[in-house]
Amino acid sequence: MRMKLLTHNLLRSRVKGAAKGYPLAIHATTVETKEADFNPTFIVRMLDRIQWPVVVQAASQVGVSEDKVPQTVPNDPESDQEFLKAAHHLLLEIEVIEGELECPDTGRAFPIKRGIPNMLLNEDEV
Amino acid sequence: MELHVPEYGKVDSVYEPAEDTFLLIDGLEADLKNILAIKPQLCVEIGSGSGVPITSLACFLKDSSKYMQVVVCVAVDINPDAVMCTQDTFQRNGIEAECLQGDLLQPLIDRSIKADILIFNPPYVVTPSEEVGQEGLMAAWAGGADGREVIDRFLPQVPAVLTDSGILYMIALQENLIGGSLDSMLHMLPEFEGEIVLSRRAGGERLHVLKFVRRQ
Repeated sequence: MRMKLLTHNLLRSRVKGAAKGYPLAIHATTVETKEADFNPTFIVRMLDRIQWPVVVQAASQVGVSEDKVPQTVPNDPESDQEFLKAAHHLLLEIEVIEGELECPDTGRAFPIKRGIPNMLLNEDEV
Repeated sequence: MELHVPEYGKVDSVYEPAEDTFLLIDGLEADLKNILAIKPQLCVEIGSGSGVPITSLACFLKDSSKYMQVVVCVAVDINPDAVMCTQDTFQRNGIEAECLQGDLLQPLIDRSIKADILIFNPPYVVTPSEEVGQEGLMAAWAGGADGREVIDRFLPQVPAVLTDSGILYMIALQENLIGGSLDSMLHMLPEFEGEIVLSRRAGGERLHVLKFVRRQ
C-alpha cells in the first residue's frame, strides 16, 4: 500500500508551466520491497499501458542495480518468463515510503509521506 | 449479495459512509456482470473519503473465483485525512492499493495508463457557491449551484482517463439532473452514453447511480 513504480508510471505533474510534466523524478529517502503475487497475464496486459523507459529510469532512481532491470521490452514478452518476473518485481514489489517526486519541467516537488504522494497544487500553480 | 460493506475506520474530518455510499455499492453490484465483462485491471475512486466503495469492489474482485486477474486500485482525495482513512480501510481489508492526495482526476490525466472502472460519489448537495471546496468535511458534500459545480469540473476530465471500454459510476441527486435527464451531463461527455443503474429515496433526497460508457 505504498507508492509502487506502477503508480509512478501513471503520475504526471500538472503544475502551470509544465509542458509534459512527465516522467516525475523520484528522490526517495525510504524504499522497501514487499513480495506480491505474480500474475504474468496482468503484467503482459499492463505492458500496453505503461512506458517502459520510465520504469527503467525510476528503478535506477530508487537504487535498483542495473543488472536487475531489463532495458527494453522483448518482442514477445508473453513467452519470456525471466522478463515478466523482472517486470513484476519492478512494477509491484518496490515501494517508495518517504521522499518526493520532482516535476521535470518546473522542478516543483511533490512530497511522498507514509507512501502517499501529494499531487495537490496551490491555486496559483494551476 | 456479492458486494459487502467492508470494515472501515472513522475519522471526524472525513465523510462517514451513509446512504449514498451504500447505494453506490449496490449500483456496482447491480452492474457487476458488465464490470466483469470488461476484465478491469485498474479501478479508480475519486473523492474516496473512507474508501468504502472501492474497497468493496476490490474485495469482491480479489476473492471472486470467477475473476483471476490482478486488479490495481487507486484512490484519490483532496483531503489528507480522507487519504489516510482510505488507506486504513484498504489495510483493514487486506487490499493492496494506491492512495494519492490530489484534486479530482488531475494527477491521472493524459497518461498512458487508463482506468477501466471509475467511481465517484461527488459533493452533490445544492449549496451556495462559496461553500464549495472549503476545508474539511463541508467539501465532501457542498456542490454549489444545482449541486453541479464539482461534477462539472470532473466530467470533462473523464475521457482522458478512461479506457475505450471503461465505465464511470457516479452518484447524483435528482436536482443534479438539470432538465430532469442526463443530457446536461452528456453534453460534457460528447462520445458517451449514460443511464441510471439504480435509484433510491433516502430521507428527502432522491439519489441515483449513474453509469457512463463510450458509445460503441
